[in-house]
Parts: sequence; C-alpha cells; structure tokens
Amino acid sequence: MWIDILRTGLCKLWGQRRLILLVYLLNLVLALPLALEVERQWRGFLGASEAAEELVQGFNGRWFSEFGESTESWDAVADPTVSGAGALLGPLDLFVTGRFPFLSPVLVGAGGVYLAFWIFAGGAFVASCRFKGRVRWVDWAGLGVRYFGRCVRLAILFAVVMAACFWLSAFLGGVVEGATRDVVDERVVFGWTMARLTLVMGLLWLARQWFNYARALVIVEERSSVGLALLRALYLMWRHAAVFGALVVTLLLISWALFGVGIRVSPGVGQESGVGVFMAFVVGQVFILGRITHRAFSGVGYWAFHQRILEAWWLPASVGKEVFEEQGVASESPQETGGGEKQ
Amino acid sequence: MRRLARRLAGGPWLVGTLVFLGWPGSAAAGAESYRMSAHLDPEARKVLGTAEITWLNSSTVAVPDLQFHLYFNAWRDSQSSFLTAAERWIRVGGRRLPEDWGGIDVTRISVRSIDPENPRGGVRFSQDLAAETEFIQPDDGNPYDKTVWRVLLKRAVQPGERLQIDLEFETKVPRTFARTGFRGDYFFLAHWFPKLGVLEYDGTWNCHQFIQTEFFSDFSRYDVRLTVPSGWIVGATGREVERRQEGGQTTFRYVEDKVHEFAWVTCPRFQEFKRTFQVRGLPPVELRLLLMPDHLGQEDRYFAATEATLRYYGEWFGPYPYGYLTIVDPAFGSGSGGMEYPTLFTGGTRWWNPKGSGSPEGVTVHECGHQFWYGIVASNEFEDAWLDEGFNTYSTERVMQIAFQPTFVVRRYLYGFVPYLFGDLVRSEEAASGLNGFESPLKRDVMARPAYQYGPGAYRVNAYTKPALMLLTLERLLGWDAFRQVLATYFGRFAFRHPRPADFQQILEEQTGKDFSWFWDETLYSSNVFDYAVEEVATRRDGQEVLVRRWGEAIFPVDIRIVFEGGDEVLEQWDGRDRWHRFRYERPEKITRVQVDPGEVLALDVRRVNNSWVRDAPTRLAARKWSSKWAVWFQHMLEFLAFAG
Repeated sequence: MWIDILRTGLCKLWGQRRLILLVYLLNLVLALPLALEVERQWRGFLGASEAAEELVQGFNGRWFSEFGESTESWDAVADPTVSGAGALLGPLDLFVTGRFPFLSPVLVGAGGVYLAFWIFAGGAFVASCRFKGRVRWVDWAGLGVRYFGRCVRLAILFAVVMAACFWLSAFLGGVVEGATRDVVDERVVFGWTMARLTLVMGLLWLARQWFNYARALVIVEERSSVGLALLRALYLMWRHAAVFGALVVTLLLISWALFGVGIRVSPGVGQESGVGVFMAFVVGQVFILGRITHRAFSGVGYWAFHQRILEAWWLPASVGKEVFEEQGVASESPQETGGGEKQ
Repeated sequence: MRRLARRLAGGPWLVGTLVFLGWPGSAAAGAESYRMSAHLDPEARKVLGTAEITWLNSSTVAVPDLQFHLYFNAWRDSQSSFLTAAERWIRVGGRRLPEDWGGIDVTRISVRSIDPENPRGGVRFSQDLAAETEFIQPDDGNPYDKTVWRVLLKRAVQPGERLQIDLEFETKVPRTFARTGFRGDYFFLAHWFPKLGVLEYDGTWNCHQFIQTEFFSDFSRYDVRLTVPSGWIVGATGREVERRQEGGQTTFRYVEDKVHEFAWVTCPRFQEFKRTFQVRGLPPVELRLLLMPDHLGQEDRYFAATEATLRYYGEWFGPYPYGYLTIVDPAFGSGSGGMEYPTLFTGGTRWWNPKGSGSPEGVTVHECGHQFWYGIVASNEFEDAWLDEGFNTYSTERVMQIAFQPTFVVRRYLYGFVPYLFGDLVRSEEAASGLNGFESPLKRDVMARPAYQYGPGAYRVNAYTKPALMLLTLERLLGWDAFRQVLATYFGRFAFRHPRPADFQQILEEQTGKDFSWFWDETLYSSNVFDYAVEEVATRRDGQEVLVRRWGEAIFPVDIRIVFEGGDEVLEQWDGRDRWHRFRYERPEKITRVQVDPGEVLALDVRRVNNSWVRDAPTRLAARKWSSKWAVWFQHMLEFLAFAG
C-alpha cells in the first residue's frame, strides 16, 4: 500500500512538473534581483583591483573582511561560508536555531512573498491531483485560488504551532542550561542540546506532516472548517498509523538524502571561469529544484495517502461537477465511483 | 675548559641563566615575597587564605599607606566598575544566581617593620580594618567599586624600610565572569589574594581599578601551600616542591622566584601528560599538560603548539628560563581559557575540533608566548596593554605562519557544537584584523593613551591589532634579521623588569641608528589611519599617467610598482606626504598592472583593495562568482522559510 501511495504521488507530481518549475522560477526571481545588487556592490568594491584576480582564482579572506566592512547590505553577503556545503548548512542552522526573524528586513520580506506563494501553490498541487495526466497551469492556478483561503487559515494555525515549537526550544534551552551549568564535559551538554533539538525538530516535522495531510483533507473533502480537518487528520493518522508512519519516514529519508548529497557535492570556490561559475550555479539550482519537488511531493503524497485509504481514486461526482462547472472546464475523468466517506 | 667556556658563552643557555639571575639588572621589587596558604572548600566555593608579604619601600619618599588589588571584588555585585563597563561593552552571558557572585574580604591585617639587624623582631601593628582601611577609586570615581583597597599605616614607611604584612582573607569564588572562577568541580583561581600594587620611584602607587584591562605587579618570590580534597589534581605557578596528605585533604606546596602572579587550578578530572621540550641550543623545559577527559586525543596538538612557541620565541628573542611549564586545558564553559600566568597558561579547545582549524594551536601559541611578553618582560598591562598583547600577537602570527599552515575557515553550527571545516577556504590572519576601512576602529582612540582610559570599543584594536600590525610594518621596513635583533635586545634588557614604550623606542633607534619619531607620531601617538590607493591609470596623448592618492590622514613612504606589457617593470618611490602624486610614462607599451606598496610593508593600510590596478581585471567574473554563491544560499533560505506554508 505504501509503495502504491508513492507511485501514485509521483505520477501526479509528474503531471504537474511544469508547475513545479513555476515555483522554482519564483524562487529564482526573488533571489536574482538581490543577487544582482550584491554583484553590483562587489563590482563597486573591487574596481580594477588585483583582488578580483584572487577572488576568481580562489579565496582570500582579507577581501571578504574589507568588503563586509565597506557595505551596508544583507546577511551573509560578505560571508565566504555561503559557498559549498555552507549554502545548505547555514540556512539549516538559522532555521533550527530559530533565527530567521532576525535577518535583514529585505530578506524576511522576500521570504514572506515566497511563503505566501507556497501557501497558494501547496493547495494548487494537491487540488490538481484530481486531473489525470498533465495539468494546465490555468486550472492549477484556479484551484489554487479556490482553496487559498483555507490554506491560509491552515498556515496561520501552523505558524502558531511553529511559534510554540520554537518557544519550547527556547524553554528547553533554559532547562538544559540550568541542568548543565555545572557540567564540565562538553559531550554531556552536546548530548542534551541535540536531544532538545531532535525533540523540537521532530515535533515540528510531525506537525508539518499533520498539517500537510489536513490540507489534503480540506481539499479532497471540500471542508471549510480547517479545525475539523485537523482533527479528522489526526484520527485518520492514528487509524492508519503504519502506512502514515511509513510515508512520513520516507519523506524524511528523502529529505536527509537530498541534504546529504547536497552537502557532499555542492561546489566550493574553485571555479575560475565563466563556465565554471555558471555550472556551479546550475548545480545549486538542481538542489533547489529537488527541494521544491520534495515539498510538492509532500503535499501530493498525502493526497495519495488519503485516496488510498478511502479506496477512492476520484472525487465524488457531485463535487467534481460543481468544481468544474464553476471553472468552465470539463472534467477529465468520468470515473464516478460515488464512494468515499461522508463529509 | 677553554673550549667549554667558549661553547657556553655563545649559547642561549648563558643568556638565559644570567637573565634569570637578574643580570643585566632587574628592577628592585617592592613586594619581595608572598608566603601564602589557601584552603579550598569546593562545597562552599571559598578559599580561606593567609598571606605573609615582605615589602620594601624602594622609592625615594616616605609612604604613608599600602594599596592592594582586590580583584575578586569586581564580581561582588553588579555595581563594580568591571561589570558596569562589561554591561556596556561586553555581553555578560548566562543567568546569575545569588551563589554565582564572588568577592574577597580581608579579615585581619597586621604590619611589622623588619629590622635588618633583627629580622624576627620589630614592632608589629595591627591595623583597624574599619578605621584604617578604605576602598578607593583612583580611575573612575565609582564609589561602589572595591577593587583597590588602601591601608593607612600607623606611621609612614621610610625609603629602604622593609615591612612584613600578614593578612587573613576569605575569597568567595564566583561562577566565572572573566578568566577565574568555578564550574562544577573545576576551579581556576587567579588574582585570588590581596595583591600589592606597584610603588613607583616617586612614591606614588601604581594601583589601578580592575575595569577593562589586565594586570601589573612586582616580581616576587611565591611560596604557596594549596589545600584541596584528596584526589584532586592541582596545577600552579611554580614548581611543586612538597605534597602532604592529611585527613582527606592534600596540601601541595609550590615555589617560584621572579614571577609576578600566582595562579592555580584544581579539578579531580584532569588527565595528566608530561613531556620534555628539548631543542638544541635552548634549555630543556618540563611540560605538564592537564587535560579534561572530553578533550582526550588532543594532547599532541597542545604539546606541538607549546613546543613550537618555546622553540621559535626562544630562538628569536631569548630562552624560556624557568625549566618547567604547566599547560591547562580549561573545562568546557569555565570561561578560564585563553589566559596567561607565569609558568602556567590556559589554552582552550572543543570536544569536536577538526585538525586544520587553528584551534587549539592558535590560542596555545599565544598564551604560551605570553610567558615571554608578559611573564618575563612584564610591562604594565593597565597602562601599556599593547606592549605585551601587541608584541605577542605579532609573534604568535609569525609562529602560526611558520609552523601551523594552512589553517582553514571553520563554521560552528547548532549552537556552536557541530563544526564544519571548509577545506577550500584558507584562513588569512591579516584578514581577521578588521581594520574596517575608513570607519576603522583604529580611530576610536590614540594607542598611547593609558589602556585603562581607552574609550568604548578601543581596547581590543589598540592593545592587539594595531600594535601587531605596527610591529609587522617595522619588520618589513627593517627586514626580519634586523628587527629580530631589536626584539631580542629589548627582551634581554628588560627581562624581569617593567618596560615602558619609551624603552622599546630607545632600543629600536639604538639598534638601527635611525630616527623613528616620525613613525611613532603616526602610529602610537595618533589615531589617524593609513590608506594609499591607485586612483587612476589613464592614457593621454603624450603618454600614460598613473595617479596615486593618500586617502588616509597618516603619512608613510610607499613604493609604487608599475608593470608594462612585455613584463618590463618600474619601481617608484613616493614619500606619501602629498594627497596625490602623478607618474608619467612616454613609452609605447601599455601599463598592465600598478601596485602601491607591493611588498605590503605598510601593514596598517586600512584598505588594501584600492592598492592595485590591473588592466582587464576579471571584476565582473569575481563579482558574479561570489554573488551567485550568495544567491544559492538565499534560495535555500527561502525554501526553509516556505516550511511554514
């Protein structure tokens, strides 16, 4: 059953591959203007200096130090550890230690725009699973609009959960600090700290999966109450714990594998030509795309999970007709089983 | 015999021995000896102590009082000058519970004049602690600061008169605020006893409050008995000469001549390692490392760094004379790392510490190096902090460049516990100096100002960074061999003495035969910054022009190297006085490269990016390369932010 869910999810995702690219393009479009500004600042700083040669040929910390001191810019602009594995480790560390809100307002603002789009896109990806084959972007967007309000409500609730998790992290940090204030063995303090982070991140990850599933429920079962959807999701997660657990673990392992490979193969600072710089950038984009795909799959996978446990592959006819008549689009699949649990 | 005498006369052995014995003339000490006992109660976190101090009025006037440092009172409460300043300038992390505070209380003091004819005789006076002692604040007038304690003697001490001062005191050990304190069953104790200030020749006391600087005191003989619970390992200044066990307690006796501080550490968890430093031409040194169990496996790194320091400092400046040295690996979170005391220093490392990070090598070299600049050449750290920190930072960098390269950038993640070593990012120490261009912290204060008076944000740059770069500039100006000779002469002449900046300046001029007053005016006595630049390289009808400019206020003569197509080079000299200077060339070959100060003689130039010009510099490519890496970083950031959606 679990393999079926994965297979179904992947098929659905394949049908929306161009839309995954759309999300990726937004990610790129948000980053590019800022990166171009950083490039402009670097050019202004370097002028015709020999420093440019050294920075092309490798790394010299002196120039980063001087650049950082000469520019009023955003976080990490003059930090050479954004290269290589640092491109993943740095943001991961900022996330896990709850320091995102303290970044430059411009970065936080761009992040807010991206988040809003993902709230939209998350609903659209799940809702578009009702289509067979390739999904048109206009249908995808239309469904995104239809379910945006509910997805926003879910996102707000999840933000509360996130805040609670980070509050818990800070609280546990105080507990660990108090409990270890006379511990002189760093390994013990490290162990406690990792236990704290594992607990909090584990809770956060599980909460994310719960909300992802609730989003699928909201969409598939046309629920207007996100609260009830959350409760129902909990119930179904408990009822089908084994399959749900397998799905969660699979998603987690894929995430870790992505990160592990990314850390291993992320290009360092050795590019000395335009082609090399471009290829290094492309490798970075491949990982970004991988993460976006993984995130989309997380939503779609729960749609497949729900469909599978209900043993219904398409929406009940009445709901489908209503949706498509609204949008003026003929339903693609006529399989009307009339099955599924009552709302 | 003649052969032996010739061999000895030429060797550092002889210099070291003579230096140790006080030739060519150490200053007469005020506080000649400290005989102390200290009983540590780990449960109560207290040290009960007694001290018998022999003190000589080596000034030319009668002195009516004694002044003591009571350093631990900096942590008695939040109103001390140390913590008031620290709250402003340093974030004092961690929660402070009532039992975390420290302090030192003298419970009894009596004074006896020592009759040279009858050393055990003489009249003893008890001092009334309430009426005849007071806390004074000679530096900032903060009435709540109790780090300088003045005893008004019943009668003035005459020039040449010797006193015996007996004290009983109780020291409450704090959870470390800075350098000294406890964590769990680890106790590091420095400045834990009442310590006499230094009496100047004119009869004034040099006894500053403990605010933001380090320390200053006389060279003395220390004979100290330390009592701790049995099974606890002790490390201390000096050599252990006796050990007695009695009733669950062990008393260690440490003795050392000619040191100006006594620090000690104790913990039952230490793992002890010993090694002998032996390098041809230098006296052997017994090394004793006290290592915390979570750092096992790093002992070789500590020893390698210590031995490199003893070797290079010994060969360059003069041999380490004491014959033994204790290296303390501080406990995690103890706050006692990275500090120096005579014949003992603390390093600092992490449990997970990749090789190639420069740690613990860097801090070990630096703190071991302080045995020379601070321990032996004992400048006044209150007033001339740069004379030990700057000299030692400069020397440390030299050792690291020779013995421990390359080191790589390490970023620590997950609250600093998990390191990642960037194997393609080689660290450059000069880059870490943070001269900050035109907004330079060098401008915050004049280096010559007494360190305890430095304004906000000026201490670190004026005590460490600027003097180190100043010395590096001198080295490049004179050449290493000549500059090393200057440093060795300074070291030899002021070993076991308290030099002032003028002493080093005098030796520099004596050894080189040159007047360096212009250099000191621009560096030591000024907060102006150096910044030379290539402003423009232009082709005109009648030839090519190179325009160089002085953006900074400080002046320094610089070379300008101009390279032409075909490889031909011209080296111009510019006295650097005017705001700009133009060089013209009438030749067909195009200029391909211009460098101001190509040898980087002027290490104090606050902005080196503008020191060069390259035709067809790959600026666009360099900018794109690094901005594209930032872009990928930011894209990953966006993806994490999207987790909330």
